[in-house]
Amino acid sequence: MDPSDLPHELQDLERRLAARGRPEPSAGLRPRVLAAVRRELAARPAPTQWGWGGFWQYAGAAAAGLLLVLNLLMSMGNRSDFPASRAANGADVQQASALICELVPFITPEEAAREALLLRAGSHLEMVPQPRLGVTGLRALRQIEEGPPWVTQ
Amino acid sequence: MPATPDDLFEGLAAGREEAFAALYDAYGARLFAAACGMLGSREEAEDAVQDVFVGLVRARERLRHIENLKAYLFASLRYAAIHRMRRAKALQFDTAEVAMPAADAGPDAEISRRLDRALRRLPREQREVIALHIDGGLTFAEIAECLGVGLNTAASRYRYAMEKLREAMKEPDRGPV
Repeated sequence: MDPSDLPHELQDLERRLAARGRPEPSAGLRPRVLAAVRRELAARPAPTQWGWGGFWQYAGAAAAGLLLVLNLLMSMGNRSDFPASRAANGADVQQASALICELVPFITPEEAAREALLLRAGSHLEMVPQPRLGVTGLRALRQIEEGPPWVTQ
Repeated sequence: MPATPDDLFEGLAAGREEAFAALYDAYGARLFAAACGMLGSREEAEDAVQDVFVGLVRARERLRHIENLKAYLFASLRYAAIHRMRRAKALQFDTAEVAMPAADAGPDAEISRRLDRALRRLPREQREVIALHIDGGLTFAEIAECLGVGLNTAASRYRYAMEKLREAMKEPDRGPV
């Protein structure tokens, strides 16, 4: 907008506004602002240019990224992520899962499937004897370890 | 002042204190005057100018992409002023505190004082456009860039503000705001 677009009265007002002068900052403002700038610069130093340190930082970040990608690819290849919903597709597991849901109504279908899988895994464990010796058995075992009692007659 | 604007931008981006000092020497007084117009308090205006320079240090990496540094500075000042106004909602304008050099004595002094008081009664948007043009010395194109509005909007906002100021000057003076 050209100032001449203003009506004469407003132009006069504009001149008066400009003529009233500008408030001057105090002499202390410049050093105060520059001190604040200095403090801020010290708190936030400029990022270093790409030197050897920068190169190694970059190389380290790239290697970490590459390892992560390889790891994820291997996980996908081995199906080691093992999503329970897809794994529980055996007929016996589904049956067991349905039974668990029926027996325990408040359990979620996912949790039921997980429990069914655990049950199936448990059913494939080999039987291991777990002797329950009791007090007499323990006493007998201790006698075997310590040898026959001394006869002092 | 660095030889070219590119040198200045380079200095600011590199965090060289002399570049910030040169920028203050070039724009500090006008920023302060515009801040006084927006905030009506010397103390708040000085704080707002400091906020602008601290903000520049924080954003110095991005300064290379700025085309109009002057408009950027005044836009930053506007944000700083708005932030300060929001923080101190009860901020009272003190025309006696923001004494203008020409407002010492005589009939012109009385008119200046009335102008200042009338300015304080304007809505913020109108007050800031006058402060940017008269005190900050920005063109309408720069004001438009600073406010993020079109050139015509900036110019018409200024015109409305001047008309409102004229109306306020016709009213009987009610003393300091």
